[in-house]
Amino acid sequence: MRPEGNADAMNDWSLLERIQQKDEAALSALYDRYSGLVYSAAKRILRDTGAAEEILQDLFFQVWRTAERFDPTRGSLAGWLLVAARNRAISKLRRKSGKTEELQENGVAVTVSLESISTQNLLLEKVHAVMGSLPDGQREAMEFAYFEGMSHSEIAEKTGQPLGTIKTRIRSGMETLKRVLS
Amino acid sequence: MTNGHIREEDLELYALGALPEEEKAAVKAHAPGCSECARKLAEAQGRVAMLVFAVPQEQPAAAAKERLFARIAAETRIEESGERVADERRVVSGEIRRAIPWWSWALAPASLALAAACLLLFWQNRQLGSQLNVARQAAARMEKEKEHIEGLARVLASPDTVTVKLAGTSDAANAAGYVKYNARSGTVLYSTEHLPTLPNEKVYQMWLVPTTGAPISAGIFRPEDSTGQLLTAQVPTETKSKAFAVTIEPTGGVLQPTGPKVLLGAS
Repeated sequence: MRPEGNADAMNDWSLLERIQQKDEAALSALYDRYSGLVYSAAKRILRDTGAAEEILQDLFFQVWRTAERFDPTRGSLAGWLLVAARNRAISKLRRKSGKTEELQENGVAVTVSLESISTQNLLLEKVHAVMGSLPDGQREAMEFAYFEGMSHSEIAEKTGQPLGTIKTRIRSGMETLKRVLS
Repeated sequence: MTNGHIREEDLELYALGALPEEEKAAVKAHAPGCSECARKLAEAQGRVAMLVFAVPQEQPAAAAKERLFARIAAETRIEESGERVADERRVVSGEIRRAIPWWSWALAPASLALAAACLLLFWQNRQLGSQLNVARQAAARMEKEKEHIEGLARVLASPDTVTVKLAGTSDAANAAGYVKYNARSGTVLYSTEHLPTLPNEKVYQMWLVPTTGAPISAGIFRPEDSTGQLLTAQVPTETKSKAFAVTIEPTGGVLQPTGPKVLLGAS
């Protein structure tokens, strides 16, 4: 029997409980909430619509199949979706092995709720502002790491900068992000 | 490591995926058994996850969702079929036969017929349920699409919405376009025409240039997507615009404009 309640208005964990009961409306609401973010991240990394859609579908299918493995005490569901989307896109990009994240692997602690569009808009504004304000070298190092999956030594080699400089740039960029998000 | 813990900066680099393999292995080996490092790593992962908001936001095609639910429906059918086969095997297994009195075989044909009828009814019921779910999903999607179109119509009709005409630069002298922008809802609607065709590795990217701060991406498009059609994008609400511009960028878009401007219009 379909549980009562408007899925669109539910928080992520309530939706997940309903997904465990194989409620497609709950999965649909979760998909509507995060598919844009997941797809945008995968598409930016892979620059390929079909491959990005494949990652999107695989992730939500995994949520459907293994919803009971998520543990609310270990972190945020939205955070897991975003980290997993990025990791899978990078793996695909770098043609690594087919290893995928287990749902109960590293927790992802997101301090803000991403459930509402207004919060997502606010974060869009903040993160755009942060990235726009970073010096070119810092932004470039962050982008190589996040979008290309490069290690700091690979970035150093690509940019011709000393390893220490790259580490400092990434650390400064992450510090700025941390300050703004807190 | 410092004081038996992994340095916070290395946890940040690990979360970003920027640590080399041997240092990654050290984090993987230590963090799961150290509550402090595990907590800091989870926080770093959370911050890195927020970098997704630096990416130009796009919605997947509606068909992507349909394909997801078709995959789920197919899997459900396979599982149900597997369960039925397993049930039937159990019914005819030797152990069950020994538990049944000899005279009950007289009832076997009727029982089998009843079981077959039950299975048929069960199967039909599931099929109807599945079809009903698909219909519900389709209705919900149409309702959402209708709401979306109504929302766009409200934006177009709103007195708050401003129109910005876009003129081609020297790189695209014949190009033109317009933007309808509603700052209150953060909605950008635009259309262009006569933009030059692009090689596969390039796209056009629309930018809102705010009165303060860096340009904000309002989506990427190919010339054929925008000609005669209204494209939509969402930017942070209440952003005061100074201008709108279109640049040529690598496929996938960029965080900040890097390529030549082809269209420009002041708000």
